[in-house]
Amino acid sequence: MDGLKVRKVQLIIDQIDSLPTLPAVAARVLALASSDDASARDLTQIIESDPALTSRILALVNSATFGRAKSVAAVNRAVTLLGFEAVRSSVLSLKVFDLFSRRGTEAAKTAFDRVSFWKHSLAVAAAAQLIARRVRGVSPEEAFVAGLLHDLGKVGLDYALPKTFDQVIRSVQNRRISFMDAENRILGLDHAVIGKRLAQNWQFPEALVNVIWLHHQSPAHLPENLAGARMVQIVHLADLLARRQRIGLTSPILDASAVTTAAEGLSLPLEQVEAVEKGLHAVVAEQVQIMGLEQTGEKDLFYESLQSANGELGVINQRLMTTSARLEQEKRHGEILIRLGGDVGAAATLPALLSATADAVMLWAEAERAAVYVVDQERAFVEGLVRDHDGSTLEHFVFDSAQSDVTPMLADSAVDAGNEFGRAEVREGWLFERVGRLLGQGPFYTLPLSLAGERLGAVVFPDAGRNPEMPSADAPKLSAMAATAALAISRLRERERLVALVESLADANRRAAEAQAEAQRRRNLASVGTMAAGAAHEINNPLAVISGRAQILAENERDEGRRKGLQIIVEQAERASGIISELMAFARPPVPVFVSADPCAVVRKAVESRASAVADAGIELVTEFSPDVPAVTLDSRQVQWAIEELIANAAAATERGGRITVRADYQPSGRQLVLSVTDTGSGMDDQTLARACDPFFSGRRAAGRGRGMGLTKVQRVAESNLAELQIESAAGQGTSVRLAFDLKEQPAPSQTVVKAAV
Amino acid sequence: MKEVFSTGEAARICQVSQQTIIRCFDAGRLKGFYVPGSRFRRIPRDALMRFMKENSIPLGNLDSGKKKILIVDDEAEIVDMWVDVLDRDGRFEVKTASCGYDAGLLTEQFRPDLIVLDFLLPDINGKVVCEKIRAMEDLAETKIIAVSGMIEEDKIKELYAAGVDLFMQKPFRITELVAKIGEMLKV
Repeated sequence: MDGLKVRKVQLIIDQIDSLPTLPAVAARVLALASSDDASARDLTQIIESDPALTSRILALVNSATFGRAKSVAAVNRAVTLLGFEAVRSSVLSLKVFDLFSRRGTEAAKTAFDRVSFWKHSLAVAAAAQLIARRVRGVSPEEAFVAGLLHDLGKVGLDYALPKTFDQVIRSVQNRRISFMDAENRILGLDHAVIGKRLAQNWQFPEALVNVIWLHHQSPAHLPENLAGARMVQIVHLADLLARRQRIGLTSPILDASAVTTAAEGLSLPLEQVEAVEKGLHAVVAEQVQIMGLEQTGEKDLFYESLQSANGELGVINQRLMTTSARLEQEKRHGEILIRLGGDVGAAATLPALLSATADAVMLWAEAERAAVYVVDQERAFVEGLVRDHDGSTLEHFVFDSAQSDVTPMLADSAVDAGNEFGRAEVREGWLFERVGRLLGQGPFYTLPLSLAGERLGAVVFPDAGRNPEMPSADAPKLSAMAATAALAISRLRERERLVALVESLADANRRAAEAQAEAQRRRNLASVGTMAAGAAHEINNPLAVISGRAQILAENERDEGRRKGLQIIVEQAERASGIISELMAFARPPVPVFVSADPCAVVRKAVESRASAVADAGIELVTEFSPDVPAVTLDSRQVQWAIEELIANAAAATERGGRITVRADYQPSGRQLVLSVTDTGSGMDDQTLARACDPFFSGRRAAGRGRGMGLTKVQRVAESNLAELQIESAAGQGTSVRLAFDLKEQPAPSQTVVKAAV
Repeated sequence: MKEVFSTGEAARICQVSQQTIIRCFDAGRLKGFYVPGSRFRRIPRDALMRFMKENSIPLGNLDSGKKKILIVDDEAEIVDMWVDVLDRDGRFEVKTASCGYDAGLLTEQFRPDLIVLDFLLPDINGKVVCEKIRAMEDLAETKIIAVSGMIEEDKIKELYAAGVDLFMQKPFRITELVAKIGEMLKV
């Protein structure tokens, strides 16, 4: 947040920097140290060097000395009559605060009452002066000036952000919170900080800068070696008194003990503080009269109207001069608008549309860069991009509502007064925080993209300074561009919504078809199961007789050859019976008994049981385990059997000298466990691979080995253990069969372990 | 083989009342002894056999010393095979039944030590036969082996629940099964 605050201050200061600097007259008056004779002469001289100032000071003196027979015509006489401080304050206030004066109609719209503000400043100045007289080593005159200028930041804010500051004042008035709180809540920075930067820019003395910056700090929180620490404390106390007396524009004091604390900090008895406070109203009233705040003399009126007439004339002149350039501009803008219409119409994606919009605005404003963003319809995120005038995208960003400073922007959907075309620095603070570095030098403007009262997003761009009437003159044309873009955005969204709808329909269709296929498969399996159960009884009875009779005969047979023959009869009868059993196991796999088991131990047992057979075949058998494989819920007997089956399969497909690798790979990130058996054997071609899991299909049928049920059963084991069976193979490249367990979806351990009898 | 009988056992074997046996014992026509320190009468096997012969009582009920096995199966070929195997073994006395009704009747009369039971009988389900036998208190010691071509796992579980001591799948290894029978009957 600090980076953003610094940025905002700089952006507001930048705007204030575009003002003329502090007039030389004010700077020189400020530098005058005290009220001795030499200073009085200097002050006279300074005033007389500025004719306008001279007439205003004289007007002031005459209104202040209303009732005197003879009007004052000389400045030195005025200084004598009113006193050095009064004249100096008048000059300062006239010069400093005139800088911030705004055109009459605009000023009338806000809650910031200049006269009221002035009264407060004067009250603080007077109080500071009175306090300074009771404090050793502080000049009362300097205290007066410090008091007068302590709230410089407020005028600065009012000037730079009139509408926002208006909100601050309303907030102070309605919610009874302090200015500092209101400013920080609404702007993210306060008048103390703004005032400090302003004072630094104007190279005010360090003590005065500190007063402006720190006058709201309790004395306990001030650093020891601060320049003008006493002065800061005095103005702090003076401000509290003025606020307690509710003189002028003030906010309530929230800390009841603040005055006591401040007085203690200055070692000032409370009676003296109260004395200052009591006399304050009278002093301020006098000052107000001297400053001519509540009455305006005829001369003043005449002077002011003449001045404004002059100004109007100048404006008309300039208007005439720029007419032809303006017409040229109009034509260019028209072309840009037409092109934008074509471009956004053709844009099929949001980034393309945003690019076209940003490019058009850049062309219009002759800007080097522009950022554009739109807020998602559910207001869950904001998407946008930063474009360069060369047509490249510098950044494509998406921020979601999880980021706190984006949230209020996302939540605020209505187009209100604060969302019209205007300065971007504070309004789009979140944007500067993220992509500000790409946007170059300010000042920046924001062009809201809105449709039917809903804010969709905005284009933010720097003013290249080539368009002198940037802020207001071209707003209608910009609005036309914004409306074109907003319409296109909404249309694109509608199209995306339709596409999404069609896609979800297609998806639903596909899932329904899959579900149907699955149901069919289950029905098939069920009928296979019923058939196998019936067949088993019918076939196993005669097989039992064949096998049994052969066994009885074999027992009594002395002839070795015959005995062998009888034994083969027994084995083959059992094999025939086995086929039925396997078919049954395929159709109705045994219900797994889930227990939490160490998968490595299961694999190790399977490897052990096959080790000698594999070794006899001259094949190397290797195991590899990831570290930290966690316990997994599975039917350890079934899985062990499956691994054994896979090792047997691998061995059958592998030549002497080959290798079988059995692995347990655990990926903690994906919570995935993969048990795999990989061989260096003959592999399978695509056709064989496609049918590898079909019942009674055997790639090695010619060799007469296996019944083609191995992989089928492994697959059923995988299914009932919620694992996925993956086979990877190519002819001559070996085969890798994997059982992939998703540990995020583990079955619940079986409640009771039923004694199984298979 | 049982060597000494109580008067009650002797009465059952001879199919006369216990009172008759006691009268004959006390009259000295049936030799025997008292359990030392008590009034319980005991009759040795040879004394009982002599008494039965003298009185022309059929010896059928007198234990031959062989274990009694009842084979229940509707397949004549299977039954014949069992009889062949078990007769030849010599340790067993074998009777056969081909349906549930016969099985029930023979169980009452023959009081087998072990029943080899096929699951699918023409009239009654093997499971029902099993449950009926288990309901008879004086046959608590009788072992039941179910042998069947049936392969459904859940049905096999049901058999165990009904009180079967062992299930064997058809086809089976005869020597293995006979060894199991010997084990169960402790012969």
